[in-house]
Amino acid sequence: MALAIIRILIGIFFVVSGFEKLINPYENFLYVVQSYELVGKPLDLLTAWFMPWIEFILGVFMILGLWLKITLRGMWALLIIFIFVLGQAILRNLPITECGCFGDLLPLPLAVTVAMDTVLLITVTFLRAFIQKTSLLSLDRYFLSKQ
Amino acid sequence: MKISKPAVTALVIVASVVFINAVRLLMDRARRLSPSQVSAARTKGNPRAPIRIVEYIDFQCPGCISGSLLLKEYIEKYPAQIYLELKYYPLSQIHRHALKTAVYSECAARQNNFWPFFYTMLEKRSVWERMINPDSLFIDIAKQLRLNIPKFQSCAENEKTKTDVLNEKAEGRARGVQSTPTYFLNGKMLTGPKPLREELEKFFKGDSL
Repeated sequence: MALAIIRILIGIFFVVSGFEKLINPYENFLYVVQSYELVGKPLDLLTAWFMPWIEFILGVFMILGLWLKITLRGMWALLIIFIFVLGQAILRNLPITECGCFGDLLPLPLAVTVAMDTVLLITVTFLRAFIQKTSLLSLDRYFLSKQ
Repeated sequence: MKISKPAVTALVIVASVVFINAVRLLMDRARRLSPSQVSAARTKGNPRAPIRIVEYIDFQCPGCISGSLLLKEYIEKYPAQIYLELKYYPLSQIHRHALKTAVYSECAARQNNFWPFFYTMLEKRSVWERMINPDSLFIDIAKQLRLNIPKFQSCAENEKTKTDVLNEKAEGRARGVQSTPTYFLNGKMLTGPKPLREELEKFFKGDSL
């Protein structure tokens, strides 16, 4: 049960992060993407448009326990990307004072965000390893029982 | 009623998209309703200009400074074409003097000396940024500009000035501003000096200053 609760909490975390970016003007997150100086046009525009949707939808799927194996894999990949992007910004000493990951909601320094994402990555790895327990209270289980 | 997993998946995605777009619509309406007032002392250029820019800045943010200097150059070159309104958006959680600089600038604005105070303050940025208490430096600038010093000081100490600055920031947040510099060029939101430069170059047909 504990793993299922952790799964739901991580889902809420991603939903909030995606929601905050989605309801605010797109230009804010575009500025964040551009400040990491990793992708040029039009990739920055695409990233700023798609990333919040990916976060939000993955979060919803995680809460509902829908396509859990794929969702966890997606979340794992997303966290690896976040850690890489933040890490390169720290190494290159880019003038970014806060990560911009949660907009105005939670301004966090880069190092703190890397630490937080690493903890999330470990947790998601753990959830993947114990998928049976993670999938308690999930739609996946419901559909499996119907078969 | 039997419902398949792919159908539930599609339903969840559609519901998410509808929900987010409904919230966006409501937020957009609220943003349009938010007031936009600015002290006349913080405006520049031709009020009937075809380009109207509202600039939200924090005086300690490097992007804001380069954006402000870019706008200064464009306004000097095209004074009839641009109208600028400057608004405060101090990011006090990351810049220790953000609120203080906005408050002092507002006090200079109330004596109709905002722009000279602002540009002098930008020139001396490297000095006051390192100071724990830069008040004396700001008062020196006010003296150089021949402002009424007792009035300037009492304005800076007045909580109401701080509240006015923070209200302007809240107004910016209600319009969707989250970071600085953010510009509204004829209503179009631009975040960062780079898109501002691109839009101005587009308007002035490739005239990059």
